[in-house]
Amino acid sequence: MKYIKHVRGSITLLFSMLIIVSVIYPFATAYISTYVYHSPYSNVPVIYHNGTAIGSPDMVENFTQPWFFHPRPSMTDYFSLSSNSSSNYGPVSPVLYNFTLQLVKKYYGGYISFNNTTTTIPINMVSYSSSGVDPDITILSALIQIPRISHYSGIPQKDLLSMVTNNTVAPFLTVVGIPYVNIVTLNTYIYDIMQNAQ
Amino acid sequence: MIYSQYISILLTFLVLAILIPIIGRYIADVYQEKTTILDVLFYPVEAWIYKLIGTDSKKSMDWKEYTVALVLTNITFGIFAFLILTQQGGLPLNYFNSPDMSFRLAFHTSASYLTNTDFQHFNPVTQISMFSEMFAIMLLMFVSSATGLVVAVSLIRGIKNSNGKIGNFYIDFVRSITRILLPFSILTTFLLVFMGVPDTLTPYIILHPVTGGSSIMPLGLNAAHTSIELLGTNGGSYINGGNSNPLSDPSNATIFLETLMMLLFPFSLIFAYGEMIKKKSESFVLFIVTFGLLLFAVLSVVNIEMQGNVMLSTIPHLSMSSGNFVGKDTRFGVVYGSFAQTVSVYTNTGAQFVNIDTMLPGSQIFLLFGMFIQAVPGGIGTGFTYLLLYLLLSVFLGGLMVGRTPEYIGKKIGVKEIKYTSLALIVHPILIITPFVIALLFNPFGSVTYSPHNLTELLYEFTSEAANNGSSMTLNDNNAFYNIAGGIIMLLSRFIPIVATLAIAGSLSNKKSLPERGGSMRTDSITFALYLIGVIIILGALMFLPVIVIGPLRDYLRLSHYG
Amino acid sequence: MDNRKKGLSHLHGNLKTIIKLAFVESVVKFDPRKLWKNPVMFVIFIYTLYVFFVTLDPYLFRDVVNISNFSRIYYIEITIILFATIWFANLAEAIAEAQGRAQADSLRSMKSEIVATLYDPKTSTEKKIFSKDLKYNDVIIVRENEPIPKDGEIIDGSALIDESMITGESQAVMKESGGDKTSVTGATIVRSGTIKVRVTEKPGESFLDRMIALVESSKRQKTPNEIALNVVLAILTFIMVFVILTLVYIEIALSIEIDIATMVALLVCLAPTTIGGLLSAIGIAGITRVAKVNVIAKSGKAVEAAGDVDVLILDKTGTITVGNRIATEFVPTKNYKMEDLLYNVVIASIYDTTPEGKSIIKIAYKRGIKVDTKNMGELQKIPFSPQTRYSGIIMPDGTRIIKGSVDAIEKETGYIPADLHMKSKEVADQGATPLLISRNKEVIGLIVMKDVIKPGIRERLRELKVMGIKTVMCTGDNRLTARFIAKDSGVDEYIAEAKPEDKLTVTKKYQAKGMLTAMTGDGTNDSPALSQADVGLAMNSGTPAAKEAANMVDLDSDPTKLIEVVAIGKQLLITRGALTTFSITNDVAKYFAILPAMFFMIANLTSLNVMHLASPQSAILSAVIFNAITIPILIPFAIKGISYTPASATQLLRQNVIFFGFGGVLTAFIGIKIIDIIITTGSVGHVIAISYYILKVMLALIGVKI
Repeated sequence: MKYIKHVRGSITLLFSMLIIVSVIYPFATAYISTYVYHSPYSNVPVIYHNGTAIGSPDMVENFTQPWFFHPRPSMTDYFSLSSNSSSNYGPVSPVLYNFTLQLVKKYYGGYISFNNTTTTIPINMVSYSSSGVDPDITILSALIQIPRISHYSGIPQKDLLSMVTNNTVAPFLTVVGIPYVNIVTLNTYIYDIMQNAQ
Repeated sequence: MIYSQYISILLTFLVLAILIPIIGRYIADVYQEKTTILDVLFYPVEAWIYKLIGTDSKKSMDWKEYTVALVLTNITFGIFAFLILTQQGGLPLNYFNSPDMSFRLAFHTSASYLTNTDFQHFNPVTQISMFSEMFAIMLLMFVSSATGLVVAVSLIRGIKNSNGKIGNFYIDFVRSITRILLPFSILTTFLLVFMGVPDTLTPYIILHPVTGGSSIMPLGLNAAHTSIELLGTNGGSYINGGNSNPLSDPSNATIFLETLMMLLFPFSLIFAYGEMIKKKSESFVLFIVTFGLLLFAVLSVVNIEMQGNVMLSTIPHLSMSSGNFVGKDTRFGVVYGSFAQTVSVYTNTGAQFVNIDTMLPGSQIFLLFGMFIQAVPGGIGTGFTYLLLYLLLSVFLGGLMVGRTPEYIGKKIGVKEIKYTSLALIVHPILIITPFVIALLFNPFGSVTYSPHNLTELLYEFTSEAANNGSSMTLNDNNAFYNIAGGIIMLLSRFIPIVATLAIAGSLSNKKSLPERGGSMRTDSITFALYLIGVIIILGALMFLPVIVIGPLRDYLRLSHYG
Repeated sequence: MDNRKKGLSHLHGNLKTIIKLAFVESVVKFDPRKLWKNPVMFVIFIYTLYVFFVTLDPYLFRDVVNISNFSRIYYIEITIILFATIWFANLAEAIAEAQGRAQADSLRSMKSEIVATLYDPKTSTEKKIFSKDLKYNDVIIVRENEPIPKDGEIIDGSALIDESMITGESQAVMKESGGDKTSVTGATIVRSGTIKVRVTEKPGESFLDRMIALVESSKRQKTPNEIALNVVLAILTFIMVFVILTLVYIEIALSIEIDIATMVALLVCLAPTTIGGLLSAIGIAGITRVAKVNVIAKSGKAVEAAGDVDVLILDKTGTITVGNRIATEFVPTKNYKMEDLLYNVVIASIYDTTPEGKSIIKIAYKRGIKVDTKNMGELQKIPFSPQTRYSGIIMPDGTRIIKGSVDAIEKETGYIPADLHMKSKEVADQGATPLLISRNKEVIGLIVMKDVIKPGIRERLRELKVMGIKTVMCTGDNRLTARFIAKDSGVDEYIAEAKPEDKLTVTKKYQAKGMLTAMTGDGTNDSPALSQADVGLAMNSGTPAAKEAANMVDLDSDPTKLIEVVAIGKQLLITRGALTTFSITNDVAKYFAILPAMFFMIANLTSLNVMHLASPQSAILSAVIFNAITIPILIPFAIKGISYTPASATQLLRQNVIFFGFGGVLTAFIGIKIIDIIITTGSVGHVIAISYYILKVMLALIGVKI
């Protein structure tokens, strides 16, 4: 057994690596991250309202109230802890077709009833995301919702419009990705305005 | 608008092109034990480890000894992780009260992370405690990446050396972690934290949203995990929804960084190769081959996705102008999301940036093809290894075609090399198709008819496992069959090629290195690069066309009927 | 070239016999024990038998045959084509074998049974014995006009030997004991003189016997390259069997009707049958092609090694230059006329029987001089000696006419006229050799002796250079001459004033650099170098030691052959590589023919039918027929070798990939489409007519008219 010495070698390797990558690496990076940003949550954006954490732009809630911007549909019920995060519909599946058709009808109905000026529903608004908690929508998806939100919240359409334009996130380095708005941010503004109005 | 998005792909590759020669040289320096800037920091640590291991740090091993050390080490780490996972309920830092993993799930999980597959048959938030995350998951992610690297490096040494030795496993392994994986992971962890990815020992934060109720936002070691996950082409994210979850990848800046992270080491290794054998032109050819094929795949996938789903476009009042947004997060856009996903699959990372299940059949074919080949650029170390295996086979046939006994970098390619190369390459289709057929015969879908899409999902599952990729189409796969079959596939498809590769390295290292002579076939010409591309495509097509036909191709044809 | 044709002309008449023999042999080769040696064909054979049994009784194979739809005609067709595929492969091998054997036989036919005279040195007695009973080391006596019964070495005596039956060279050659001209070949005839010959040939181990073993597939040792390629092919076949096997189960799972004939058809199409069928034929034919240039290779490996050679070590004399130097110019000194010079030149060279001396006389006569030597009386010969370095004549009147090198004549006469001194320098500078003629210590003039580069050799050397092969010229000449000839002929390097040992040194030097070397040689001195070199080509005229040390023997004793052998070695490998590529790229098109046909019932895969083949059955039949007939169509290429123009490795790769890679895809698409049109629209008569023409063209390509 000339190779028996490698048993010792591999066990030593296990313990030394445990110290380096399982202890030092995670503890050190976590410690420095929380220390630098003076927060136990490191650098995650959290929105506070009167001292309570009410949300994060990194996690969407199921905003169903008509005066909020609605998120894209979610397979996981907008819940980050559930496992099955995406749809099981194949790209040629009739289920996908019917699902999309129903949503288009719903939003298009909204367009008719609120005298919207757009004529089509963007695919972004009627499709599942990959994460199931996509907090962002495209500008077009935001715009088609403005008449409805304005109607229910009482905020003038042009204020909502400028809210959308002011909060548009541009593509990184002007080319990576597409312009979008974060609906958690937008809805927090709406929530604030409506709270103040009361 | 659309074209400006295509520029984003170009931009990514541009940054990559600047980085890889530099990192490549650094990697070469690390394995040739030249002085590097991190010596001061790590020499004492390494010396201490070598002393404990008891290996003479100067002693180079032959391939058999190297293989024994590598396999034993992997077994030790695998068993350790398995034990941690099965006992995690009683171990500390278990904030979500994750139960002990069942033996079969723990087997699949430890096999998955040990083999750089990182296929998840579990919910990463609720079924993995923070202790398991550190002592099983992160540990194995480092180990599997390092193992991939050392195999590639020992093959390079086999090509270079003539003394029958291919290096010292322990030194290679330790240096892979301390000099390459760890420093870069720390760097990217801080970059990700800066961009808003959480990295903290606080497990979660409870939110009280304005819509009522409360919800839990998981935090934890996301950035540290994501760093080694992507740099080591592991995949298998910290949180549900993979890297498309805004907590792992919050913005269009992070996806840019994360795409680069996946590409960094597989491509750098190609340049490290040129540095190590002192023939940079060889690196360029391999780069052209891998990059050319990757670029073709990326542009094809992005194009297909941008055209949108023809079936859905028949719905009135629906605008498809932004492409196939189904299963893609808004902030990435269809172009960059599809790009990142293609990169993720082609680097065998398998991290989820967009949902593969809802990508169009044409894209699915391209993604499957990337996993069939595994070398464009493939996983860390393994991709490069496969590339060299394809190259050896091409050199063999090409050498005959120019009328000479085939040789590569002065090493004659003989029966032994060809045997092991073929062995390493045929393991792959066998391990994909056999379980696929078994699964079909035992009908895991119960009464469900075999729709082309279901067949694609099934094929994708096994392809992903056999390619040690880890990406998945949503298949309900946490059951005894998929756990055990998957675990076995991943282990076999990882370690059979590794041992075969080391055997090739051993055989080459015993051959004397011939100088470049006038009549030898040059492997650093554009002609050879194109020829290599041809060999890779034809080999892949011959083996996999039938299964492509019954799955995604039928979907593709079905979809084109709508048009 | 002419010699070769003359020597083997009777072979052409044998081609029909070759084909006839091959047809018989190709049937014998269906013996599974023989097929087993070819993994690709063996697998195909097993599956062919399977389909055959299904055809006989489909009810026994209900699982894999759709009984209700069973078409026996279709099954019979498939079975026939599959058997034809294997038969074609057998045929290829059999033709190559038969041709090789015919080649060997033609060389051996001269060695028919003859009565030899066995000599017992102890008792000095003679005994008549059949040549077949001669043993190694027996001593025989061969007298005038007797054939030499076996290969051997002259131990006593000298003789003029007629070797025309082997080399085609009509002029008899002088052989004698001692020195480098001792070797005699069996079947050559002594024209004058009596020699004692020690038999050096062991029964069954002559070079010819060894060559015959190389062309018989059953005894043939495969070369490492061939084994490696066989591994690749076996693995490809294995993968295809695996893919098809799983496809059967996929069809079961998807409840698609299985049709085993189609499955086997797909397997046969996808397995590398083309190259699998031709592989051993290519190897055998390589040896035969070497034999056709009258070179006998002792192993297949030696032929392949010739293709790999990096450095050719060439003897100047006989390889680069025409045998010997010839006189090209005569320069008298100021005081003499040309006639005087020519007259003295002729007289001085009368007894000079060296080729150089003969050339001098010949050329002097051409210049119009007439010398009547008969009436000159007794001429006394001054023979050439290495010490004096001159030769000449003493005339009856005591006049001393000598011819020699400049130094030697200067020593003789004590002076050199100034004009000749200049001229001799000039001549030497141009790589030629000046010879001076003196008469009674008075210098008369100068002869310019020049090496003449063999016609065509410059082109050959240029080709070698293009292919990246380095050439080194060995010569006993001085540096100046060597350099001039090297430059003139295009040799890369030269070794001047070379001693026989130098060849060994040069070989070792290049081998130490990792290069493969090839060289020729004939003398015993050469044998260490011949055995050291990776390819050693011995001249048949050389000593048995040299022939034993080398791995090839040239019956014509023409050192230029080395270049030809290198080309044949390369061609052998190229043929293998190119046909493998062709075979594999063919598969792409076959997939497009068969897959849509196979899955036509489950989905709208019809759009995959890019070739618009008439029906699923015709598509499959066309693919299988195409697969089968590529083998016989390629037999001429396998036998004759793929022709190639010398080019750099990268250019060769590009050419061959384009021609055989892309060509392979294209040919298959076109071929399958054409076959599909023929079998769907044509009658049986058409099919037969077309097959006949294909056969005719194929046979015409290897030289048979029917």
